Amino acid sequence: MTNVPETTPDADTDAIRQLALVDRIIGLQAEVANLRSMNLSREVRTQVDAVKSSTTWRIGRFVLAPVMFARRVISRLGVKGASGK
Amino acid sequence: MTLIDVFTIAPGERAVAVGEVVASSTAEFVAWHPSGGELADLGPINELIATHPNADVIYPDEWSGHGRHRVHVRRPDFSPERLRNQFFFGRPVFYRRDFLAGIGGISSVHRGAEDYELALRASRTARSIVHAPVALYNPGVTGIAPLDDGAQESTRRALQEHLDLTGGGRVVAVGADGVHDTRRPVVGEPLVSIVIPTRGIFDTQAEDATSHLLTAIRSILELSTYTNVEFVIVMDDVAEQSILDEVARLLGERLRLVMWRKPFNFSEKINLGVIRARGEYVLILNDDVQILTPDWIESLLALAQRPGAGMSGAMLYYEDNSIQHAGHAYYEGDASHIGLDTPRGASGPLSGYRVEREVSGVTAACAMMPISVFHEAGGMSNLLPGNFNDVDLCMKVTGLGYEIYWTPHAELYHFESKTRDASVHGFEAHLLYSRWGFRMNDHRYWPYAHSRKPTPSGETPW
Repeated sequence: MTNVPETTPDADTDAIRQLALVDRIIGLQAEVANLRSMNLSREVRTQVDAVKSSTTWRIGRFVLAPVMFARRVISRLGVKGASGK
Repeated sequence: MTLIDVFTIAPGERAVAVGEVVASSTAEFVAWHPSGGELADLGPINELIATHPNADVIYPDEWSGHGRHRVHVRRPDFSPERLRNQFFFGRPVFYRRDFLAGIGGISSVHRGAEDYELALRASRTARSIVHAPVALYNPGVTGIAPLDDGAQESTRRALQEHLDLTGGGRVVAVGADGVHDTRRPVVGEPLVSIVIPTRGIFDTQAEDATSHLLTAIRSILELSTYTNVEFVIVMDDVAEQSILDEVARLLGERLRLVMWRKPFNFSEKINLGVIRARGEYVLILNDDVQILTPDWIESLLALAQRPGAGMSGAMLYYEDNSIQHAGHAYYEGDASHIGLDTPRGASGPLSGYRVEREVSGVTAACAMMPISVFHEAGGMSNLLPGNFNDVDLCMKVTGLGYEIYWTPHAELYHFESKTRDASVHGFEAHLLYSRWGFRMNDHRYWPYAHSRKPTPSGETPW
């Protein structure tokens, strides 16, 4: 048998528990931030849906449909864009 | 008052020309670019100036080609450690005119490297340097000319001055292609604890029944130039006695052996090892690695010692010499490795595989941390026994405000199989995304798609 020093996990229980506790606190803070971000996304999505279901939006899309179609065709043909944006 | 003046500078006496046009301007911001390029609408920069009142310097992305061949050449957000290896700003760079005058304007003694030297100097005192992720400039057919001898010498001088004023370091090489090798110094000779979790058994898949652990330890002992290390080996109680004996023989007084008698949990094994470590820095290391560069510890340590550093990571290769890891990237909700599967020696987007730089995270297969940061972050989460524990740790570290760095100068083989079944459990993915979902699209330091899709169908793993 080798005579190298050996320690057992049991002796380190307190230190391990402390690490886990810090991990849980940081994790919970992260979960709260994540939920807040999801709520914000939901609010924005609701607002976007409201805009897209409005009559103004629908009329705008109808009026711009030929222009959008032309843009798609031009981009497929690889015609040089007017702007670098 | 005009908000922005942009000037075109012809080849020649750059410092004089820029000095003259800047002196003639009364605008809040000034910028210049070489003749022959194409500049897009400045609207996005105007908006950015309005929303970033502390911005002293703003740099955009560039583009090349047109129409279907148009490519948006993306730049990372401001990364001071990367800047000492590469002038990665897109053109033109917008300087607040008062700030530019305050730092002495463009240099007349760094011929051929005037813009780079100015950016380095600005980075030392600017209140804020802001990246505008819009393609604003196309350099045209001329592209970027290689640096001639004079420009390389000016660059070397500018870099050494910058290093001397920002914590020290040395210029190892200046590249004609604009990719340089500068290194930060190791401060003192702190004890580094190398923490290796292992089963301590022979690899029965190999022809000659080798032990990955022994291969790793031998390569560290034979190659490493940094010697103030201890080895904390966290070994399963199923370990082979002959491996245990050989580890003890190889490491002698430098060994701290910790036996593991619980079910597999990578995170808990690492935590236990770090608790037992006595070093000021811990180097978390998988047992199936082989060291390739003698100064790998110094390279990692120099970055882990930077003020505000939380972690540093290495360049890992598969056995077939393809890249396994050049940093973590969190892109569109998926966590992956930068450079995955690309050939060793490849440069990567914007030569990113060749330069020390800031990253969002690094793999725990080889990562160095100040031990204080490890404890402050609560170590590796034992709720993640097999997967994502390093992503979670990196998120915690950066969430605490620390930076993570990656270096191409610490090179290792990692014999983890390319076809390894990652076996991501639902609860692991759930935990990661319930904690960090809102931060899983991080374009700050690596604004590029992954080189390998997450799954053959392109689906994300959750």
